[in-house]
Amino acid sequence: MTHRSHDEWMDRLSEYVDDGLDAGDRSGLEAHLFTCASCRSVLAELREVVEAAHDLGDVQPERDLWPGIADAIGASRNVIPLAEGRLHPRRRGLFMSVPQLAAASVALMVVSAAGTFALGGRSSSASPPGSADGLATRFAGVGAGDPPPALAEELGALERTLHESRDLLDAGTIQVLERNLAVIERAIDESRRALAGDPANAFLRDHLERAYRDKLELLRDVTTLTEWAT
Amino acid sequence: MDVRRAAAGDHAAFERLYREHVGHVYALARRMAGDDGADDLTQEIFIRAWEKLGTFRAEARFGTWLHRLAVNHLLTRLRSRRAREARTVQGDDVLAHEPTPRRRSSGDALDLDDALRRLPDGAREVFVLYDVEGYRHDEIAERMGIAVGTSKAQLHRARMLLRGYLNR
Repeated sequence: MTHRSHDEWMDRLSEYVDDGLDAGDRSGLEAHLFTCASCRSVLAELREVVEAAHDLGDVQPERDLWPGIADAIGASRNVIPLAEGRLHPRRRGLFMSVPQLAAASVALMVVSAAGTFALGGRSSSASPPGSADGLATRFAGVGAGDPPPALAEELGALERTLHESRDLLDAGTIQVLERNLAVIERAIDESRRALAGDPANAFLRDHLERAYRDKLELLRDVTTLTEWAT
Repeated sequence: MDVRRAAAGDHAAFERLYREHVGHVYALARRMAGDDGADDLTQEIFIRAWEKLGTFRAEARFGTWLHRLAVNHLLTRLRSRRAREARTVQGDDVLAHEPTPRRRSSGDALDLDDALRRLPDGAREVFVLYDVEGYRHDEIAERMGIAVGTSKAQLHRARMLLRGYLNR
């Protein structure tokens, strides 16, 4: 029979529930349980948790997920999905699986690289397209955390394009997009406020640049997806 | 029969398979990933199943095959989601783990599905796979890329936390 401390026996209760202890530990724990009301109580509650887990059943989704699947596997070529309660007879909603999105992103990196290079303008020739250095060059001399004019212009244009064509996207994709954009916007806002109090802080400036770059890449990817959906 | 038809490209047969199994796949996705991503993940799993139907062996049960595919897909996606959140949020781990408020099923006590949402990711995944789905620790360890001892420790942690949540 094994001898252990109270805490050590407490840590073994789950294995006891699962009949996973060797004979020595099992008899040692049973001897401890005989004298320890606290461990007996926890053991009973752990068994209740396990029993409740075994009783968990299936759960049906609140909305029918089949239309999105059918669309992705080509089973609904004549189905026109509803997007946010409105019918768009000429357009099909766009749903992309993860591998498709990954492939699209890779393809877009090539396209974005050229765009970023162009955005970087004449001064970015020494930096790889889309690199932090390239963006840093563009940020040089820009105060109060504002994006450089060219970047601000592209972000604005992409946001307008996305706003006009968001109905082409699957509702789930829009949900993910909005969640990600909210996180990025929050990072931008926090960095700008922090930079206002400490304008020379290189870390904050770098953090802000990365946030703008994330936003730019996300908007470019999504607007290109909407173009593919038309 | 439907599996064979679906593997041959019959969409209607695949829809019947979807209707039969979506409850289990969705429950698994919701318990592993939370409400927010469960719809998307469920769709991804069935799309992947469609793409991989050709690899299904007739001697296995379709439900078992689909379940394994779902678990593997969920673990991969959850891992990459956590990595992405860590990159994007950069230190703000409140967002990554903040449980989304949702309705209570009944009464004052939390039900187990509600309580599961409060668990840390690793503990929740091990608990769902072991206590809900019936995987062994060695299977969980292999799929999650962790040691068997870690799987056991995470399971105990999950059960102790759930016990606290449910009795609160």
